Amino acid sequence: MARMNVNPTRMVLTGLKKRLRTARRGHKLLKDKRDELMKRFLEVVRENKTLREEAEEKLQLVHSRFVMARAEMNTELLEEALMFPKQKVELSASTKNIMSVDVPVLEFHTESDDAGDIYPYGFANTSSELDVAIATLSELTPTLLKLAELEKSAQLMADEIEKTRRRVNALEYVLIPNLEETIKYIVMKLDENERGNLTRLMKVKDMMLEQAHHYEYK
Amino acid sequence: MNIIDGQLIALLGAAIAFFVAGIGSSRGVGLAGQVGAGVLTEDPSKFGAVMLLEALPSTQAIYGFVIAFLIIGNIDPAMSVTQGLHLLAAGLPIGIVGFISAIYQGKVAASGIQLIAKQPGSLGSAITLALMVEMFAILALIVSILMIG
Amino acid sequence: MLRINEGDYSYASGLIRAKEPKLLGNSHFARMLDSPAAEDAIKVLTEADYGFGGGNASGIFAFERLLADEMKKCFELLLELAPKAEVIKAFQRRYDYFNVKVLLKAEFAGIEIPPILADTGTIAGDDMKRMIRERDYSEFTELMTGAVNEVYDVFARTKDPQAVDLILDKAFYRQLTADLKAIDSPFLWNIAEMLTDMTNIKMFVRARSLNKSWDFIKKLLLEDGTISEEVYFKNSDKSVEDFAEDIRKSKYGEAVKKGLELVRSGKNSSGLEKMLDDLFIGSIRSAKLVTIGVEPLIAYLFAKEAEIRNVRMIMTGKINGLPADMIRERLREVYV
Repeated sequence: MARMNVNPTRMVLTGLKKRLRTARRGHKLLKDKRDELMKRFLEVVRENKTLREEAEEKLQLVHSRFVMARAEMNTELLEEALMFPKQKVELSASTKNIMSVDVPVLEFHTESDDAGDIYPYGFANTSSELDVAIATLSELTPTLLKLAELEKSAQLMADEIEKTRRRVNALEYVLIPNLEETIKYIVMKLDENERGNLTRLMKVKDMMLEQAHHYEYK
Repeated sequence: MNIIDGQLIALLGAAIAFFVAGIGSSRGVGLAGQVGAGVLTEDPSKFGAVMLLEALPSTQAIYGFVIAFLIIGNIDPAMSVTQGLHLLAAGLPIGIVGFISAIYQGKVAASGIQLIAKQPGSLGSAITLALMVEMFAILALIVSILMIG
Repeated sequence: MLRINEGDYSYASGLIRAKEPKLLGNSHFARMLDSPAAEDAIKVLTEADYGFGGGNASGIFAFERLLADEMKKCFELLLELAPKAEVIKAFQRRYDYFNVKVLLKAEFAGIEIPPILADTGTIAGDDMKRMIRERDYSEFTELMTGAVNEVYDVFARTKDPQAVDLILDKAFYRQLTADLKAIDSPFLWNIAEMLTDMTNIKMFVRARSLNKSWDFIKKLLLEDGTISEEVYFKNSDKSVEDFAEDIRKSKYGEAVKKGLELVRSGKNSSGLEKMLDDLFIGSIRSAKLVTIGVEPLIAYLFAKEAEIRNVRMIMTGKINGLPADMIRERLREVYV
């Protein structure tokens, strides 16, 4: 462990000791935050997983419905039918704070309340398979939005966890050991000085006694 | 002198026998020919069968020709009006029946050509169907011959 | 009234009859269904001389192009054969109306015109583009001009894209009926009637299953059908089965009943469409008894349409790996 390049003085020692205390406290706090984040993250991930499975299953269904619609109608007709959507959807995005992470919250509402308004085409040249496909897809939209929300939250939380973990580790394995080492070094240095001083004083005392009494240890 | 003598009336009979039956045959063959051409455009390999069917309605014209020939053979410059009318009447059956049967035979032949276009194996039945119409022309021919005889 | 001189059709009838055996039959479809991959299925089409030939038919996704070309080829052939082009044009107008729909929707939505314009109409796609852009309706029929103006008017007020489809679809069927009734052929009159009625029935049943109000259904329904509006109105708040019961005695009764049963059994959600299409092809079959006339030509056109629809179903199913039974269930009956 590298020790810091500081003057081994008492003042510095006091400062370092203070920093060490703060670091220890910070470490503990960050560790708690990490654990809590981890817990929340796992919750989100679990929810995400079930939702994703559901969405994927439904998407598969939508896909096969659209394949059937495509089989019944020619491509041009299908494209024309879906060229200009009738229903408008407003999507508002806000954020929610989980453990100091801003996760997105998506909300959507349709402009018109008539559920039948999702079919923007005439019925004369289109196949009823298309109705089924569109209806299934429309049921799926809220699920997909929720899924997007959860996936983004999970991603943001994972980033935060990563950051926090790095901080905890930096504190635990770098800053705190460094501080401890430096403190130990300063203490040792100060003790050494103390001892040197003592020896010097004893030597001076001996010299002064000899001068005064011409006393000699022989 | 009377312009309408026996000889002229008999010649009229020959004309009716050949012309009317001939017109019928032309229309019958023409109709079958047009349909045949359509089929051949798509499938030239059927030429033989198409030609055979197309030719069937032409027999009426041949019968008309035979009767006309027989009538002309029986003409005598000194024949009476009654004799002339007799020969005119003999020309009528093949003329009229030939005309109508040739057109219908043409239609049957046209259908027959369409039939072999779809099922090449049915040439026999197509010809048989067309020949049924031929029978009336043949009967008319016999009646005409008997009337001359 | 446009008279049909049967004699003019003898060559055409012969040619069409010789072409009929080349239409794809059930054995071809079975072969396509049984082929292990889409590439093998498309080979059946190449063998049947589909499209305009040429090398660009490679790749399984090129089949859409192939089908469009085949339809175009069929129209070109019929236009060449028919002594009176009006007879064929009546059916081509479907594509004119389609192009107008695409162009108007693109204009209203402010998007680029997608490359889906059909070139089987009486007016070429590019010309149509120019005409709509410049509001030049000189080549449109009266009904079409009226419909286009109505669309502009209604859209300006309601901003409802569905109105584009509704107005133009309605106008097309009115046009078809008017065009066909102007030709002296009971066969064509029957086609106009059946197409109108069948479209009405299909639209009504769909609107009912989507729980649409009578106001909306009324906007959908085409005029000139043999089933009166009253019948639809009476059933607009009842189940579709009641409706089927009400039209039991019409010639569609049986087909509608069977179709609804298919839908209810869950085997085929477009069962009604299939049964009605089959009924229609069945009635077209009377053209087989006509040696010379306009009937074989028109019947060939519809036979080709049905064939192309089946081919599309099989190819789409093959490419997307749908089970063969599911496709077979939906295949329409063929003319031959």
